[in-house]
Amino acid sequence: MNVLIRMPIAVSQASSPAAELAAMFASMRPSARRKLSEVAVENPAEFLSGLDTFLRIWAESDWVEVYKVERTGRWVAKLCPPDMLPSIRKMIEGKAPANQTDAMSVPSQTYAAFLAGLTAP
Amino acid sequence: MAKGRGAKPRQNLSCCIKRATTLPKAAHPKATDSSMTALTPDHLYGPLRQASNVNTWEATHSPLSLTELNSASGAALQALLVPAKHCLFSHATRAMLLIWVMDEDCQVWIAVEEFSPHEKPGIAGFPRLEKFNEKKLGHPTLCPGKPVRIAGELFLDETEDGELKWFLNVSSGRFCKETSPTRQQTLAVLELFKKEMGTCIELDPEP
Repeated sequence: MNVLIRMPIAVSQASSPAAELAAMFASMRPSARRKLSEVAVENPAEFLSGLDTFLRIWAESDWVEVYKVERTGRWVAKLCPPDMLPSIRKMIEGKAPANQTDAMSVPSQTYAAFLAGLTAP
Repeated sequence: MAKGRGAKPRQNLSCCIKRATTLPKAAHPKATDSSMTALTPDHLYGPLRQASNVNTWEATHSPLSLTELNSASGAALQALLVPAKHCLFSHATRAMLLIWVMDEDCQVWIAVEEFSPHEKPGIAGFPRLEKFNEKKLGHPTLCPGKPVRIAGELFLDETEDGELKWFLNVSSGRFCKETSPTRQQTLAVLELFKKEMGTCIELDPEP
């Protein structure tokens, strides 16, 4: 499938704030991190929705940039209030494929990479 | 025209590793200081690292924008700050991501992170939209088949004070994931960029 066509459709299906935040999760530039830190405190539900969109874009793709997803996980662990991390972990663990035969699938790699970053020291 | 090599087909690319018998021209200026004469490129910038996870679509192409970091490309990067502050170009310039590597001889190679033309030849040279998941020509395509010392990204963004600057990191998943460059190596490469670009660049820390 052609991701150049498919992915903008996936993004457009998300609410606009979620799509904007998803782009910030992908970028993680200093200005994006500042904005995400604010949203994590002021509107945790919106933060989670944006994160979910970001991960879904990768999980539905035909490849995944594992390192960047893991790096996003590390940044999220730093940006979020500590009491928010369990709910993020729960959301991700609920999406990761349960059986090992899917371990190398793109969705598995995506969510595993994010969790690895989230729990990195 | 600025020196580049990305426009050439991969098979015609000359090897980017030059044969130097002394500390290379791009080496950190402080390498000649008495306090650092004992430092080798391995110490200054890190030992050679092999690329990991080279994607199939990266095996046959290099970015058309690929060029070496020197006074001309440094000046171009510095000058880009002017149009980047104008609304006509502000979003387009911020959407771009540049990637860089340092080769065995301490020469830095830099390129816009471009779409992979593997499946769509018509988009060769187009900047990849960093925010989504298009297939791209990543770090291994800057020195094809060669190890590098250190690698990362370069991008425009605002500081906390609202000043538009270039930011540099050493975030290359292909080269720097397994063994992260040290703080000293990161600062040393930042100094190389400052030498060519002036003070319009600063470090973006790792998470």
